[in-house]
Amino acid sequence: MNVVSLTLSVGLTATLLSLPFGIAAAWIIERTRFKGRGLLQILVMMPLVLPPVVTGYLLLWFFSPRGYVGQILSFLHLPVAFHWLGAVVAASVVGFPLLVMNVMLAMKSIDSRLEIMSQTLGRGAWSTFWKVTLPLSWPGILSGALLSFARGLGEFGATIVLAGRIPGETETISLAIYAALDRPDSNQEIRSLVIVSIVICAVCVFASRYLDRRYVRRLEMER
Amino acid sequence: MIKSLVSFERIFLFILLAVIFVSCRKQEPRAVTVFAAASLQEVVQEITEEWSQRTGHAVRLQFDASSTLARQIQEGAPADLFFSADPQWADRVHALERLHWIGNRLACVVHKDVNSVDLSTVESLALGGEQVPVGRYAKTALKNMGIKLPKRVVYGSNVRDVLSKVSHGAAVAGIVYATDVAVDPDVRTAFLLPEDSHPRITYVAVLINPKARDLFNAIQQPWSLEKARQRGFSTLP
Repeated sequence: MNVVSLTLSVGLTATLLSLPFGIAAAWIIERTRFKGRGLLQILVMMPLVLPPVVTGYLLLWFFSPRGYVGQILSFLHLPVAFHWLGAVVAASVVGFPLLVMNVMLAMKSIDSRLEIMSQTLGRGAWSTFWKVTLPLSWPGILSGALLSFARGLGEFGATIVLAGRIPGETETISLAIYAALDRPDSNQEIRSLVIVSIVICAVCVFASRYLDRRYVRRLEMER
Repeated sequence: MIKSLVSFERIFLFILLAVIFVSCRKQEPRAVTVFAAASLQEVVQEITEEWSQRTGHAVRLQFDASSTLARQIQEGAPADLFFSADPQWADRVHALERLHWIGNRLACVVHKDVNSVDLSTVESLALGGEQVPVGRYAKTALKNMGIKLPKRVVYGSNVRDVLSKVSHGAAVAGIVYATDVAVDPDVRTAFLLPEDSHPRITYVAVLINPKARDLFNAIQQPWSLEKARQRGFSTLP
């Protein structure tokens, strides 16, 4: 499989996988009085500042093929360490803080009176979340998803530790560039991979910014 | 008037502090910098330590795949002496002098819990990357032995990375140098690959900077070669 399409499929799967968890985490931190939410926020934000290699090491320790979790997963035909899914897990974990941060900001900016109104008008907490909170924070969710996707695409440290470099399975653009550096005749290949990465990330950042601005404008109009 | 938080004096002071911090970094201009193939880690450490004690010179060591080190040297990394695991990468570095130093063999290794392995049916294999000497030697050997690569090949960035891949269970078996096995108690040698299946494995020492000449001479001394022999390297005829 082509390195670029492999990278995109890893990034896309990672983002889709982390979306429900990211929204749930943001909602718990932002909208509940759950006692451990301070701790949860710290935990969620950790991968943003933790050296990616450390993140990778912790993930490898958890998913190790010689550990219980790893053996159960490979029994279920869902091996993570040194498999495609490992690259996905690494990408989602390092992108997760960006997603949660954006969703939290979006939820913060929702007028909470709307949610209270919805509940006084007879909707339950669950229904309010689906019908009010989620639709109103949608642009923030999308912009967070884009940023975490872009971050996950370039993940190197955690990926090389957890997933290793297996061509066609876990060798994403970053890993391919790193390996190609040692090849004397690879300048052309590296250059095209570099350009592809820049283009993909630029598109993501611009799209995320566009969504944010549109959202801010909408909020201003509402006031 | 409220004094601005960002004043010229403060910026100046900040930059001054940054400059002081940067220049305070301890530097040893007399230290000899050695770049060496990952498989040589223990033996080069031992020899340079002894040489340091005898001469009083400090040594800075860096270990990685010869391909990675050669590229870094080409890009201007300050290596004074370079040990490459194959002559090809040694040739890419501008040399004052070079020396065919010691030799090694290839070994197929497995996790210590694995009983036996057949390379022609093994489901996954850990190898050095395409440019890493141990990867090139291994691929040539497998080709000459008529063994096709399994579908899953995990590439390590240097030979010690290949070893840790086997130890972590990323692959059932791996091909490393015979001397590497001693480093990891969780890994054992399944068998040695036939010596005629690949080009002879020769470590080449490359003298880059005259500053390292004394060390370059020391590694050729009998006491150095004896240390290499003790760790399982072969000495060249």
